[in-house]
Amino acid sequence: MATHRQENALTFKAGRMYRDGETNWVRPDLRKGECQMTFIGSGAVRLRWTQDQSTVASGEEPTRPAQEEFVFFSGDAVAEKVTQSEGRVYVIKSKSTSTRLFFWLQSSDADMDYQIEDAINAHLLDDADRITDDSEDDEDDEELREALALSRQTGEQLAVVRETPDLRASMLPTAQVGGNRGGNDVVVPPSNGGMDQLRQILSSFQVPEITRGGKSRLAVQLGDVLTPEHLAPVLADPEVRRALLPTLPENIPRSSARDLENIVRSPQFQQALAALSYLLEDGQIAAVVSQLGLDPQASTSVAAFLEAVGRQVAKEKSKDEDDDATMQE
Amino acid sequence: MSNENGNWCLIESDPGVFTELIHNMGVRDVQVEELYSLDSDTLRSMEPVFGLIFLFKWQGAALQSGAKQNAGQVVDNNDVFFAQQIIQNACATQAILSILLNRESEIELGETLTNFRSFASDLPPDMRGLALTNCDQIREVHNSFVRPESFLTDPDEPKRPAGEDDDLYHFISYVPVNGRLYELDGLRRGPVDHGKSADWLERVGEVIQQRMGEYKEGEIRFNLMAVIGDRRKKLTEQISGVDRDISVLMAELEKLRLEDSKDLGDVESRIAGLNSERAELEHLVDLENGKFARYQFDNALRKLNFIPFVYQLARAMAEKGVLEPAVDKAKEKARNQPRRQQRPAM
Repeated sequence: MATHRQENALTFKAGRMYRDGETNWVRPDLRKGECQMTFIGSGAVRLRWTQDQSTVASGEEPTRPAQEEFVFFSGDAVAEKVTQSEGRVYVIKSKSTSTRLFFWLQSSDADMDYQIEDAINAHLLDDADRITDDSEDDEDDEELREALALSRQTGEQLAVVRETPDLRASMLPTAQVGGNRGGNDVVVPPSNGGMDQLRQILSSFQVPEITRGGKSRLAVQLGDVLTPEHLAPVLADPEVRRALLPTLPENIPRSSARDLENIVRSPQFQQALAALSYLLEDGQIAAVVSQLGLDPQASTSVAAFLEAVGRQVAKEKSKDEDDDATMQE
Repeated sequence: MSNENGNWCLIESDPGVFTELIHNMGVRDVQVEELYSLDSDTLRSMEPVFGLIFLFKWQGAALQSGAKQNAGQVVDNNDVFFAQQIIQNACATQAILSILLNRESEIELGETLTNFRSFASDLPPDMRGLALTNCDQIREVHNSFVRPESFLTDPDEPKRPAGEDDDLYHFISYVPVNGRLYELDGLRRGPVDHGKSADWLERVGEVIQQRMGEYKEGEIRFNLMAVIGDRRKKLTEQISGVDRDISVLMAELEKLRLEDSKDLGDVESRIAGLNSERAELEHLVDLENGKFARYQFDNALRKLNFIPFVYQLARAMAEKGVLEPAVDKAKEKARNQPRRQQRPAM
C-alpha cells in the first residue's frame, strides 16, 4: 500500500452494516472498526474500513473481511443519515451506481455525528479549495486510472468498488467495478452471537425495496409535497401564475387558477412527479438541477432538492432585504 | 434491438395519443376510440370502422405469441398487408398501420404512408417490419411522444435499459380485407384468417370474446380500440342531410299553406322531429369538440418537460412559507409508510 498525506485523511470510528442476503434488511456487523478516507489522485477518494482486531470474537469463523476498500470519484457519492433507523446509521450512496454502503458510527460522542457526516461529504465532494492534492503516482493511482479508463470505455461513470488484494477471495466477487448490478450491498450471511445485545442499541432497519434501477421507495416523493391541496392556495396568487406561465405550453388553457388546478390534478403531472422523484433519488439529473442554480446537494434526493429550493428562496429574500436596506441608507 | 433501427419510445395506449399519431402521419379524417363494449350495435354506431386494435398487457412472466391456439389459420395472402413486429416499442404505430394500410382505398393516407405502402408491399413480412422501423418520418412522429424526462438525465449516466422493467404489451389488429376478417399479430409469421363474413363487425366481437375467454381472470389487462372515420365530419354531414330534409319539408309546408290545406300537422311534426334530431347531432359535435380539446391538453402535458414548472411551484411554496412544513410532513409520511408502492412511469 502506498503512503498518503495524512493531513488529508479523515478517520472516524464506525462499524459496517450489511444487507441480509437478498432481503431489504440491513443488519449491523458487531465488530468495531475504523474508517479512513484518503484522497488518492485522479479526483478520487478511497474509503478504507478496518476492523479493530481486539473485537474479533474468539472461535468465531470470520465470515466477513477484516478490511474493505471502496473508491469513489469526486461528486459521485453522498453520505446521509438513515432516517429509518433509530441508531447512528449512515449510508454512503453512489449516484451513478446502486452501491450503498452502510455504517454505524461508534465514536463516544453521538453529538458529533453530524460533523462526521459533513466531513465525509466534504471528502466525497473533494472540495478543492480546502484540500490540495499533489498527485501521487503510486500503484493505486495507476490502478485507478485503468478502472477509470475502463468505465469510460463502457460509457458509464462508475464508482470503483474494489477490495484489497489479500481479501479478494473472500468478498465482492463481481463488484470490482460497480455497475448497475441493482441493489447490491455487500452480501454476506449475518453474523451470530452478541447480535441480540447489539439489537437493543442498534435495531436492524429495513431499507427501501430496491428496484432494478436501485431506487429507494422510502424516500419523500414530490407528489407528497406538491399536492393539489398544498398548491391550491399558492395558485390563487396571480403573481405565482404569472411566473408559471412560461413553463407551460401555449396551446392549453394555463392562466386562471382553475386552469392550473386542472394541470396539477392531471395524471400527466402526477406521472411526471413520480418520474422526477425517481430521477432525483437516483441522482440522475444533477446537470439539470445545477442549471437551476441549486447547490450540488440538491440532486441527491427529493427532500434535498426541495430543501435546496427553500434555501435558494430564503437567500434571495435576505439579499433583497439587504439591498433594500442599502437603498434606504 | 439494433442501433440502425433507432430507438422507439414506449407509447401510452390512449385514444388521444393514437388519434394524434395518425393525424401527424399525414392521415386525414381518421380517429381512434376506446371501446367498452363489443356488441355489434355499438360498433355500427361508429361506422365507418376501419379496424380494431386489441392491446393487452401481460401480468405474467413472459410474452408468448398465441399462448393458446385460437381459431383461424395463418395464411399467405398478398392481398393483406402484413408486417412482422421487429421491435417491441414500435407496437402502437405498427398496430395502427396494420389497419390503415389495409384500408387504403377508403382512407386518405397522405404522402408518408402512401410512399411507405408502395415501397413495402413487394417485401416479405419480416422485411416490411424492418422497413417500418427504419422509416424516419414514421419514427419521428412516433417518438414525438417520448416522455420528456428521458432527456433530462445526465448524458454520461448509464441509461436505464429499456424493456427490462417495462410492462409487456402486445397488440393484435383486426381488419377486414376483401370480405374476410384477418387478425394481424406481428409475432406470427402471417395474417390469421378468421373466415369470410358478410358482417365483420359481428364476427370480430365473437373472435375477440373467444380470445379473452382463453385467459384466466387477472392474467391480462386489455384495452380495445377502434380505428374509425372522423366523427365530426360524419356528424356535420348528417346535420347537412337533416337540413336538406328540413328545407324540403318547409317547402312542402309552404305549398300546403298556399293550398289552404288542413293537413299541416303531419308535416309540422316531422319538421319538429328533424329539428330535435339536429339538436342532438349538434350536441354530439360539442362532445367531440370537448374531447379533442381534452386530447390537446393531455398530449401537450404528455410532451411537457415539467421540471421548470415543478421548480417554480416549489419556489412559490417556499415564498409563501409552506414548503418546509410540507417537506417535513412528507418525510414523516415516508417514515411511516415503509412499503408504499411507487413505480416510475417512464
